Amino acid sequence: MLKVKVIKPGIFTSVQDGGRNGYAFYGIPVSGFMDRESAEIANILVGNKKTATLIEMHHIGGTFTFSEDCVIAITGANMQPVLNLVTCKMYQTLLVKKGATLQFKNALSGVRTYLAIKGKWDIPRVYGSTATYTYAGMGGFRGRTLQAKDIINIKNKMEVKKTPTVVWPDLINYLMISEIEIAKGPEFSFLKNGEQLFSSFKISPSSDRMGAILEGPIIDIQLQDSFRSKFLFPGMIQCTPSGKLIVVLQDGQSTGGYPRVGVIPKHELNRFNQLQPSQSFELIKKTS
Amino acid sequence: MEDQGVILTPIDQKRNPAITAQQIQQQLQEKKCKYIDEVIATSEEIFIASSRSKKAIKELRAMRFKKTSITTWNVPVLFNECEDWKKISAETSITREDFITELLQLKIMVQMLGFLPGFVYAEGLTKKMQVPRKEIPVANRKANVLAVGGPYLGVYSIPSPSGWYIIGDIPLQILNLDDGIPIPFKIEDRLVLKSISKKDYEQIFNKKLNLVSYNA
Repeated sequence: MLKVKVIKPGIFTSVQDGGRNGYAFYGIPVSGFMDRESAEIANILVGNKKTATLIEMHHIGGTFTFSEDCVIAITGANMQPVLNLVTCKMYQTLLVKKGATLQFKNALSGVRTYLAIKGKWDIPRVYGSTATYTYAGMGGFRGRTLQAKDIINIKNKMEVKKTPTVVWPDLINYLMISEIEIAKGPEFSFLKNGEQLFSSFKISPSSDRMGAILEGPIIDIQLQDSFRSKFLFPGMIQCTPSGKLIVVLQDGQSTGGYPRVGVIPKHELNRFNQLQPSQSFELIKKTS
Repeated sequence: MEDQGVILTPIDQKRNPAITAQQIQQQLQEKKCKYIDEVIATSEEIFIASSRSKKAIKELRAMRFKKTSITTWNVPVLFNECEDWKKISAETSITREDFITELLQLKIMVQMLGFLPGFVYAEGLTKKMQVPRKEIPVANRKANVLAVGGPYLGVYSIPSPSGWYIIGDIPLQILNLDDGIPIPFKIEDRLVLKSISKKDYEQIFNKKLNLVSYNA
């Protein structure tokens, strides 16, 4: 049994998987990978199922040790990973020797980093998923973010000598993202000037897995007294009465009372969730 | 939005669409759905999350629904004296005391679930008791609280950002994330609110009751 020990947890490091479907009716969000594409690549690289459990780190990564030889892959944001004091590559399978230490620092590009480790993770499924949803203290490792001294057990059937090094060809420089494509939301017509939506924004540092608050122009919106709560899903852009935009994310609510003026499509949400708070970007009209 | 799912608008406006959604949810939990990932109900529409919407609609058409029963729940509330009352009084011109008196006499019915785990939207507030939601949500650090927002009464079962006005504390655990059904409330269940003292609150709270055991 491989034991992965958390030496330093980073600032919001959690266990995630492909998400928890089927319970939005009760307000239980899908949770899971914030950048599905990067997470799935990490799992593919180590030979796990695409939606398998892995570690997701935000902004500043953690430090981990490994009790056995194992195969890992790191994808997503560049948190300057160092394996046994040597800089290690991302987007490829890596062999990690027993007793090794893997350290991450702050993200130079992107926000979310994924650490996949080959094997079957000993994390209980809650409503069919191992994804951590911290607001309700459910799923993942004891319903919370990882802390120092936590130990994750992984059944690790591997033959180190036979594991090939696989390199993923397409690397993304998240700092180059300057546009996010959006579609009009169901209440787009509530905007007094629809073009205002297609402006330059930054993500507020107070954003989290539940939602991203956008900093930018105050949006003029015509509210209706009779407006009732409507359904939401990750990627929907709500506009508050004060003209602030909030993007619903993976741990976000399933219904809400603010008009839904835009929608970030699934594939764009991966890129959106890698934007740093200091990074300016334009919301642009979806072309197809 | 087509890649995310399909919106169903009810033909029969008298029937709460959340009832149908609840019946679809039952099929989801019984793992009878192949193409439906999620169902979300609101008072005006149902959203079916699916990456294969046409197949999901076909699946919906083939469904046979079971009838659901209605339960009346007694809900004890310790009405607070927090700052939110000032806004409620300013918006409604009703004092805190009068608002509570009116509230306790209302027929309150579960309209829909959703928003957050264990959150309940209930209707029954008179027009003059309705308060627009806050312009910017603020952190609510408590679980099991009663709130008002727009046309609804709501119950927050977990702490979360809130655009609603928190008016009281419920000494019962409402959310249960260990069982198959996370929350005992069903659509169209009735809520009977009862104002309790701080002493009552502590007594009930210390017994560590949940909504079901309190009502047993």
